[in-house]
Amino acid sequence: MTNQALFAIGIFLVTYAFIISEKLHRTIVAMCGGILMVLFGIVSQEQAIHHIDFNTLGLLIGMMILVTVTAKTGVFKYVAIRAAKLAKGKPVRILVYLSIITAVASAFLDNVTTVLLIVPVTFSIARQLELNPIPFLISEIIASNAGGTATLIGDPPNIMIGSSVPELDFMAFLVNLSPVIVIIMALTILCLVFIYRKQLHTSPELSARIMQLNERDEITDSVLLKKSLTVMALTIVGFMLHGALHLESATIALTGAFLLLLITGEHYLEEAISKVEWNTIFFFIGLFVLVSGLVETGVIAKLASQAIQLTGGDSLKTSLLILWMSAIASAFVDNIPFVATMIPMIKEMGALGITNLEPLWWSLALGACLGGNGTLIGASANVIVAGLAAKEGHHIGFVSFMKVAFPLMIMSIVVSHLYVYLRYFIW
Amino acid sequence: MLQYTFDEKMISIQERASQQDTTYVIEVKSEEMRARLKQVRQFFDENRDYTDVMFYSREDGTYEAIVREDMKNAFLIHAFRFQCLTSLRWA
Repeated sequence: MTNQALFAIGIFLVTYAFIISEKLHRTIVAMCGGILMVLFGIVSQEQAIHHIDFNTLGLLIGMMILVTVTAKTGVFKYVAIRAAKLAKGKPVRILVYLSIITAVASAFLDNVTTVLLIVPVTFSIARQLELNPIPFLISEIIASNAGGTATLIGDPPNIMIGSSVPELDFMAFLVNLSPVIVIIMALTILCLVFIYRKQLHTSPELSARIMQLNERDEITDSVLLKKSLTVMALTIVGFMLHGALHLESATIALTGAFLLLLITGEHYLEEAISKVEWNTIFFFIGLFVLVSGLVETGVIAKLASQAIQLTGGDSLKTSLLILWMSAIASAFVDNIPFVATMIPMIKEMGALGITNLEPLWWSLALGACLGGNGTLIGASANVIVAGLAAKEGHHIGFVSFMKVAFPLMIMSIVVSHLYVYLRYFIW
Repeated sequence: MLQYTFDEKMISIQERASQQDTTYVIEVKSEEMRARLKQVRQFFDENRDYTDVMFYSREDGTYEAIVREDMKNAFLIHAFRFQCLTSLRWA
């Protein structure tokens, strides 16, 4: 192994350790790691820029702009209150409906955005029913991570995988991942209702309070709502067709975002741009450059060949190894740097002789996204909800969350294990 | 603690306190006051604190503002700023 490779491994491990320790903001750490790769001459600036996946960044930015403008219409609050009223204020039904709404919304929007939209309404509904909001919040966290797994745009790991493997387009993600996610969601909701059954009771008088809410008044701008929903629908159709149209997913997302800004006027521009999570964007940039150091020095190729030796190059064994390893790793560390490292490794496995890479990609997506449900620090949405709950005086502890969520995560990975085995190796 | 008064011809406000928050049940009696209350709502809807003040409207036309305990003074100050209250003083 060359000195350059050893330097690259050193920088990568130190950066990773700082990201895990959360002593410094992960964006600063990732950017410093990436910059060190260039300063030490491990990659040139040109190579570093070449490794930054602008499709991932464009897709994230486009969707963030679309959601910021759409959220201003009040539609998400409308949907949540409408669901609570359809549930007739009954807690078990509300938990089921809000979980389904969260999962569906997360499939098309960023998970953090989804929970930021749904959690405040949940607090309010729980307050009206004089219930502890924690069962609802934990259900929404799990639903958001599971729902995000179903599509190319639902969760950053999927965005990164879709962006790196052109043949895995939006429809491929939907067709391959949504069936197993529907099964996982159904089982998870059943388990959650069982776990929290004693806490989900209220009086008929309090249920009646929910029925008095006027959801129509939550729509603050009906003209903007029509424009936003039309553009959102067009964008989703665009995602479904992007493979056939030979357009990258970022092109679709950015077209949707700027079409919406074009028809709504420039007064939304500044707010929409300012609400893009630039921290996240720079975090991705830092990671892409960081991992490029490992790719350019041959470290990734070496790791891939060792993984193949371990599984004997068998596609099934490699898929299942990736599934479980991704799930356990993603429960404890950020799944974004993990996936950023795994993508070049799986590509390398293809170069080393594994012919059918598709099950490996789906295993990575399932493991990395669903693994985030294992602990409170496993995914950004978990941390955000715990923070909001703490502000409200409801503490979601690391252990108390893990007691509920970790077994559910393992269950979801067992289901995924069976799914990958049956769908790609038996049928 | 802040004490407030309001113009009863324009608005009526009732408080309901619980452990972590106070709920203000607000009835507006003119369109002008409705517009002012919307400004208060917009202010809190647009900030980055998602659980400070949560506004809801009810089928009977009244509004409900659920205000987190640490945001009670900020809520009253902004209600005064947008002229939903007529006076505000430290008690």
